[in-house]
Amino acid sequence: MNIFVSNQNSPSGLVGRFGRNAGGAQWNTGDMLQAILSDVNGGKATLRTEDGFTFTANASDIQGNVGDTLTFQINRTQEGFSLTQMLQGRTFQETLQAERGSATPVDGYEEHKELVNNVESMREAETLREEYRQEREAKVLRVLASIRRAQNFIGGGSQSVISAIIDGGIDLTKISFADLNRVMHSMDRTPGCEISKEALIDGINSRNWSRPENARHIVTSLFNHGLEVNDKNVNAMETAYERLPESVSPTAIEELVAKEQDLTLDNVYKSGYAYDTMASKTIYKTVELPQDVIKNFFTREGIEITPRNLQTAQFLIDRDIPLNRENIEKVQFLQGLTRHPVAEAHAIASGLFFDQAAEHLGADTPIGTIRLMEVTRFAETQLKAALKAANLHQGLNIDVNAMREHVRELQINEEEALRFLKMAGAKAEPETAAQMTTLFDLIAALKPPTVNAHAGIMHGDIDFTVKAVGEAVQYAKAMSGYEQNATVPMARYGDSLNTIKGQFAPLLENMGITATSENTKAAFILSKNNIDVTPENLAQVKAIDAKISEIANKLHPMIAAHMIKDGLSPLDMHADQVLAYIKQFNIDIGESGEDKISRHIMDMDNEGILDPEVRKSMIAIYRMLNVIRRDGAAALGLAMQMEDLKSSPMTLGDLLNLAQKPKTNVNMTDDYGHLENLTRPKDSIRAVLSNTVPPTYGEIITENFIEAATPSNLENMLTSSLGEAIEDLAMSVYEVPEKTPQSATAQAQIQTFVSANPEIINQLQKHNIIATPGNIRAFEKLSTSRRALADELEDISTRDSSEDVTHALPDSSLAELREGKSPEQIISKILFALGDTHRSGISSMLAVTHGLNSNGENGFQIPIKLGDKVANLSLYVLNEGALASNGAKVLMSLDTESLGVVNTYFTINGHSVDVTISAETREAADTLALQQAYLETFMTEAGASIGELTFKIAKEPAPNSAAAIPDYKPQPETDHDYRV
Amino acid sequence: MKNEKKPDFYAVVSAIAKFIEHTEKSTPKNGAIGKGDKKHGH
Repeated sequence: MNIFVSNQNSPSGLVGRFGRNAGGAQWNTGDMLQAILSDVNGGKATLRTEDGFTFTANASDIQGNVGDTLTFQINRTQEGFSLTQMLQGRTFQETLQAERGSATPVDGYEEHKELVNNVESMREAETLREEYRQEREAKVLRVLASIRRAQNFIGGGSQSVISAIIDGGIDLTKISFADLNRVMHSMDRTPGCEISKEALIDGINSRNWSRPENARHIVTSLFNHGLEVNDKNVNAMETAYERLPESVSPTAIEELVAKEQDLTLDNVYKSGYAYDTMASKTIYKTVELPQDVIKNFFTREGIEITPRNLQTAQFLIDRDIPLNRENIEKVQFLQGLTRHPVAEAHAIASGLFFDQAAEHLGADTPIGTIRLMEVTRFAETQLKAALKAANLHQGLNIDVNAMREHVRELQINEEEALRFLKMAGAKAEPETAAQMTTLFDLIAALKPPTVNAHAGIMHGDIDFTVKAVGEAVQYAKAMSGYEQNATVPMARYGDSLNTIKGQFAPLLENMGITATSENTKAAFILSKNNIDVTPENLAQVKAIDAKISEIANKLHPMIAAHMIKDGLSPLDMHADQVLAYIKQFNIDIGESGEDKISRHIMDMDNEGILDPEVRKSMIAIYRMLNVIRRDGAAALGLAMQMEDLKSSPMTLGDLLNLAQKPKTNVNMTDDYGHLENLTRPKDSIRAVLSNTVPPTYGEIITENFIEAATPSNLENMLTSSLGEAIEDLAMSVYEVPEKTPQSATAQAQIQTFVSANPEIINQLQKHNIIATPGNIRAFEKLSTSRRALADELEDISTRDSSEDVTHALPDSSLAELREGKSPEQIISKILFALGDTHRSGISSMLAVTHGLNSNGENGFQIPIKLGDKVANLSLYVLNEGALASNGAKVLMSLDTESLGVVNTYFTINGHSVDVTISAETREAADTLALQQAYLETFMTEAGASIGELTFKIAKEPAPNSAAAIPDYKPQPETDHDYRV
Repeated sequence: MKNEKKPDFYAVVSAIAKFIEHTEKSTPKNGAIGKGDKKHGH
């Protein structure tokens, strides 16, 4: 309410005093004054400024309690000054004036003295104490009802709107605009003013949801918190949800907990990208704390003594993080914060999450500050249930073992071959693609291994190359009698192996050779090939078999593509060379055995290895393995001769003994050392290859064993397989596990992750697109061909002429662009309109396009209908921030059916547009030039006139390249580098 | 909220696209002239 201070009312000198602010300058309209409410008595309020100036006002005009510091805005009038008390947020008056562009206060309202509900602001209305609630609520409802009657209130309104509000008895100066807006929406829930369910459902269905399953939750929580269900709010909710992490790595957990960061959505989200989630460079000393010390501590702190808690305690101790209840809870919470890889549902119940998010929105607090633990605190059971259901996730260890399982399945088609070639930076053409597909066809023939190749190699009849071996196998398969020669029994194949063992064990033992599974298998192979079973032959065939298996299982298409890029021919190279290349490649990309061991140790905590004795043994074994792989078996100076069959094969038990009683002359430290930052060598590949020694049989066994020895596997092995030979355990990783339909999908997804170029992950992050397997694939497709989306849509429309599809297609994208819809909206619409059948196939592509478009850095890709087909319109705005019309420099590219790619470069200067159109051929350019009158017509219709118009012939530049700009001076031709 | 400047920009884009589409439609359908495909030779 305005406080009117006039010459007459104030003591002499007061106005004069009041006429100047503390700095001695004249008060002016808009200046702010602060005063303390020092007394309220007899309907009068006394206010005192900092420098002791006091004035009075009607108590009913003032909001606040004695002692409060209040803020007023000065308004100079002819008679003196009026003061308006500033409440939090803009006052409605200010807002109205701003909206209406007028400085005149609304007539009449200042005469209104009645405050709503005897409370000072609408915000208070929402926090009324129960005893006054009903009474006040009725009053509020009356007021709100009058507001509700007013149309276009939010837009600033008209005089009649204001009158209606005044009639309702509301004091507009006391209310902030945001409050009013908010309350008005909550009005919708009151009897007589409900938003109909139909309207709500309609609202849900007409939107473009990135995750439709969240739609209801989002709408409900917005609604329940009195928030408008508009694009801005929904987008905020959806974006927030996408920031929930797939999982939180131990390193990130450590950082979050050790640095005592609040577990807010933002912090957890950032932790996923700020920290290296690959093997940590530092390995922690395991601090052996006596169990009873921990248990006493737990009892004291009221922490339940459970294996999980003990394990978490160890996690903290190992990382020097204070051990207390809070940190234990935090760590466990973060460990459980996962998204199911197949179902894509998050462990955090979405209903609760959105509820929290809406609460934050309503309070104008950034959603990113949601404290994640609070979301779940009330949903413990739900979380447990979700985790239980997500148990499958636990089993899907995304480690190299899994990768191997997929390589096992892998045969690739031409499309995939091209994809890998492009990612590796190799020439992606039919010839090289054929190399890849042939290679993997042959490799597929080698899985499971057969006996048919070994003899030829041993006899020297065939080259030990993938091509020769593969063809030999294929040949054998074509012959009758193949069945007898087929699958070599693998170590754990049960019956068949036992049968064989029965056959060969006596034979081997007679020779003083232990009948391990590997030895037995080797004997089998030899006998099938009519080769004498001698120690030398056994050793040789074991090595050959191991190498074939290695190539078959470790030659990932990505590696093959790199080989092709390096000018090598994987089909024709000797197996040793191939293995050497793979070995070096893995070292280069950081997949060395050392890293694996480090990671195993890091994972020990997550896999719940608790027993301190077991942990000790495991760490000892890991150290031993590292020594072996680093220095070779000989370094130990022991008879760890994996290749000498006359000595008993090393068993796991032997290894353990060795590990626990190291020779003193072996330098074994806790510190694995820091991994050097390896980059792929720039030297000639051949030089590198000649320096790289192919792995020996012993090395192969060691590396495979390291891979197999994940903490949980190793733990099992230590319990049940101490007597097994290391080589058997190592080669058992090639077993084919039972494939369930679910795991097949999950495996396919893992495959995508594994083969994904890390740079793609970076790009996705940069554009705030979640790196799901689908999105990774989509991004790859889009980055190799910007027509990918249009092609997919075209494909769908050819296959399916149903109404859903026709309706979804970008028939009117151009029209929508004209209407001012953004590229993102257009994409969303397409996604939403497609029926379920097609949506899953194309949703990733659309989502990624949407994400890329939102960023705009790479331009916009918009599928549009051109003639009968779906084409891709690419738009690049070449100068920064220039979607404003003036001065925009734009390149647009349209792939047409018969004119080829047409690139248009235009600059807008006011209403005049300079246009340069370039086509790929003279004919196309001429044809376009012939029709230029139409361009003028269409431009005029669009409200623009053509300045300069040029037609050119230009070879299509690569997307995103500077060559796309007509004035560009071409550089010497370089190969297309499709590496993202 | 509509960005008032946007329609101008996209209006130009769609005008150009329309023009290209129109040109393509009126191209005699005797082979792709833009792709160097000389089905009918010269």
